[in-house]
Amino acid sequence: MKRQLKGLVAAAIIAGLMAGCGSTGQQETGKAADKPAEAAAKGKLSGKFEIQYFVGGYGDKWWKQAISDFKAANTGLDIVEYAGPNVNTEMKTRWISNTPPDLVYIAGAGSSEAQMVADDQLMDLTEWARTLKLEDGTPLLSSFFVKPGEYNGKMYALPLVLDAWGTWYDRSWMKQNGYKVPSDFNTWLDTMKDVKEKGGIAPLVTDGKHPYPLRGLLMPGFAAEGGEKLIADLVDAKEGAWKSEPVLKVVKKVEQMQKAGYIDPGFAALNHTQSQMNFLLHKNAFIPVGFWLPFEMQKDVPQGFDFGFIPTPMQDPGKPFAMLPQISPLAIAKKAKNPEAAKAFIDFVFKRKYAELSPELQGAMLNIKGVNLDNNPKIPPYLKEVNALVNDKSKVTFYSLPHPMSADLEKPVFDQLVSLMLGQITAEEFVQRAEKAAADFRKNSK
Amino acid sequence: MIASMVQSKAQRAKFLAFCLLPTMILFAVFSVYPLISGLYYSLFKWSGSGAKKTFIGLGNYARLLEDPVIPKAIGHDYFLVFFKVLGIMVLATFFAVVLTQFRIKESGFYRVVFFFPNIMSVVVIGILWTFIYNPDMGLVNSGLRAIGLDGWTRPWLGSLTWALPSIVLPAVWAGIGLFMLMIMGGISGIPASIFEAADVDGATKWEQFWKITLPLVWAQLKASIIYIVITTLNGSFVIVQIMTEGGPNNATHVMGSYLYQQAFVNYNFGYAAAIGVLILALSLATVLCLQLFLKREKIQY
Amino acid sequence: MKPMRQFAIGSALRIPLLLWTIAVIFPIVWVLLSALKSNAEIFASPWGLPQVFNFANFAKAWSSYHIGQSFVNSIVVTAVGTVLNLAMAIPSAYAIERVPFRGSALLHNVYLSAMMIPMVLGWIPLFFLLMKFQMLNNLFGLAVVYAVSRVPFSIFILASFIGSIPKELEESATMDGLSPYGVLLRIVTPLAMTGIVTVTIMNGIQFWNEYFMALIFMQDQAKYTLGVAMDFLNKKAQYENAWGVLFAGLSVSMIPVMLVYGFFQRHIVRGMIEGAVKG
Repeated sequence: MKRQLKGLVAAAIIAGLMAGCGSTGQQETGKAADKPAEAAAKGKLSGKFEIQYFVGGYGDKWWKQAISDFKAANTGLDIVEYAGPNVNTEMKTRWISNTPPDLVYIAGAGSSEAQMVADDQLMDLTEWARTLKLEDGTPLLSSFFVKPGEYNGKMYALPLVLDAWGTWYDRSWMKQNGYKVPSDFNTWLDTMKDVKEKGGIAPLVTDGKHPYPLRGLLMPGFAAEGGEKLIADLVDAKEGAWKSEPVLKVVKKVEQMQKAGYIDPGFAALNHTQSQMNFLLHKNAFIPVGFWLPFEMQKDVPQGFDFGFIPTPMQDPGKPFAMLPQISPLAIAKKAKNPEAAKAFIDFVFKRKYAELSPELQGAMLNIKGVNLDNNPKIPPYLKEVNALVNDKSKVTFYSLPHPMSADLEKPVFDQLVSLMLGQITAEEFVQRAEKAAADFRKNSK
Repeated sequence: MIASMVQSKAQRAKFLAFCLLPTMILFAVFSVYPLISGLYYSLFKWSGSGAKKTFIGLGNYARLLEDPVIPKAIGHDYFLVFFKVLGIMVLATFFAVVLTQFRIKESGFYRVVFFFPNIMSVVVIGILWTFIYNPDMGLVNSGLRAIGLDGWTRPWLGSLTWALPSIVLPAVWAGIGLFMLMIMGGISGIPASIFEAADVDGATKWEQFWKITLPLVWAQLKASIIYIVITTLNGSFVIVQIMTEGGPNNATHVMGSYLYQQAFVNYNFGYAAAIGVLILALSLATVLCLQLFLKREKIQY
Repeated sequence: MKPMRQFAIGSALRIPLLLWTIAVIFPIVWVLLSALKSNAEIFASPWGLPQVFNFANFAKAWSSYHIGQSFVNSIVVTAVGTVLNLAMAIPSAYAIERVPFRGSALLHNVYLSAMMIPMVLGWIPLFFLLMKFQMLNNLFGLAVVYAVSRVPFSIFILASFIGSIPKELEESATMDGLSPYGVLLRIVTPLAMTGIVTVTIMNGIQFWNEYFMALIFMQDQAKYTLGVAMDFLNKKAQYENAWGVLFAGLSVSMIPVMLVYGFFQRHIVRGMIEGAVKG
């Protein structure tokens, strides 16, 4: 009896543990093709190749296409994909444990290029990237719209997808109602006034849960006002930058919009899709977000809706639009087990061919200049227009961030921006608090 | 104890070891060790997403003292604790008394239905209530508009003032069933003869509630309150995380959600660990205070 | 009391009961109805009835998001977790409550205070631990973590139940020659059954609904539990605007639990009520 019971309980415990140990959790889907010696000798790629890519508003069609093409070109590789909207959280544990995937597309919630560099998780690509070329032999680095982030003169990630931020509107609806498309801040104010008075709606909506208004509204304003120098100082939290004159001037513009009732008072309750939905339903006239909007919302676009896009018009009259793209880069893990395959993949996709496919398959532009989209009927007109716009230097000036803003700075500044946009604090209070956040950031990042 | 008399010392030790050791070992490995490592990490500057750690002594604790979000978050925690305890206890006690002391034919039905939210995942509850509060199509605002109270509509979860109170409601909604059952259990443990005697003496139901029911279910009430306090301090961040992620402008951050944000969003695991230590200290202090405060002579019947 | 007055009181008391019933049922019904709507309909008339009953969302939730697999995973984790938890908690609670030994009060207090520690703090170290044991991305690993995390709670409840079992029963069983192991299995465990039911239900609900740890410890979709699958659907819905599918998923995760609860509610309620008397 005694033994029986003891056995029973112990068995229950052990069974649990054994079962735990028995079926080890790691992915064993890959057949881990053992390297054929002769293939390796010829320099062919082989072995397991793990790719981690975030799938958000842009979908995964482009990725599926690129990966299957790559696979067809490299039959010796066993490609394992980790993808989805939660992939950054799911794979985080692999990164901590120093068993990362080979290649990572740094995008979406829970990812940060700056943090990965700070954690020494990415391979230094500085030298190698210089050797990369497009189909026609132009060096890749000189064909980028946006330069790769630099950390003490080194680059660790190559910007792939151009998340150009700007302001969307419905072209046909604006026309119907006689609203003018703005070309600078003053004309924007005029149009918003019009929309508010005639249409009875708050003209502007944005995501209030994530720092989108900071990226889509304030930063272009800062860029137009102070150029790359100011942007760099702000991102690096240089002393005095956040309470400097040009910053206050831009923030005052936001305050002005708030006071006039142009900002949807419900914005802080909305995430990005909800705010986009309201925009599509004409509950608002403008929304400053990224390029993904039409693609992400394609199933919900009402009949007759005609997307129009301009860089957010925060600049004074007479100045060109400022465009400050956020970029989502590709990087190789420092601890990659198959870095050769990862390099080959990067070389494979940074080509005009995939840059031309991207607008069609994911509604986004790749970070490559001079891509001709005119001949592809599958590409929506707004993208062709944007492509033309961004390639025209007289209308739009491009600004690059030295590197993405750290969440430790972006979050508290965004928090204060929410208060400002809800009318709870003044522009002067905002810059004081942002400066304080920058001071805290400097102190804590030491 | 007889058992110990019959057994030899060695046998008893063996039995004790059998009962206690496996649990203690597993508990030590899977609960105590991770928690102590967590505490240990609070002495480091560590992102939690890489292998690099730097020892900074009490640096993270110094940062706690200067962080403007911390006092806010503590305030929000106690706001939630207070209103959750109040809301849940008042409603749960009321329902428990009604369902046990009055002849309600369909009481079984209510008992089943009121427990439903308790078996729903917090994820589900959070998503559901976010929709209910949606400024445009949400139930609350649609309802207010339907009855002509347009002026009362607000972007509930997007308002600096209303976001936190708005989170109390789903938390109460989700908690009532369980505590109602616990209190019903307490009431059903009171001998019927006491109430009969009170009826004979002409005491009203109201008097009976204050003089008999409440004192005699005090043990259950106290246990419930402490349970709500502990689970709120340690667990309310899940619903906050799902509904507002602590926003707008930290108006709904509680310590737990702030810890989560620091550890898993802002990559400051070391600092998050220090926040965890603060939560632990606050929980322990609160429960100790409650124990003293709620002390009341046990009434025998 | 006069019957008329009693009737009036009864009616007056029913008002809050009915209101709360609506407050509970309405959102649940709303989820079920929304699951039958198309996306456009959800946004156009979020609180209206669906125009047609459209089960496409369910089909999609089931086929594209492996809800069925997640469902099975949740059942496995919950079942293994609760059983394992009992296997750990019952003997410990018995020893602490009934077998005098030095340090018994201390041990009891250690378990009690462990209830107040925020588990979040241990998540990352736990991750490394599971990795060392090769238990990551493994349902049984998750079940072990769950089971251990609720040991303090189970001991707390079970100890009070076991404490109320008359000692004479144990003594006479010992007289009859039953070993302490026999007493534990044959006498104590059956007599503490309501307590065991109580903790099993409370733990089961926790394990069924837990999602943060599952999110961190489970890495591929085939291992998702329902909570993680719901969060995944919620994220997906935000990017693809697939709200109908989300609501279908939520329905699938809620309905079975409600059915099970409805079916066993008599036992569950009795367990809870008796548990409260002792607790």
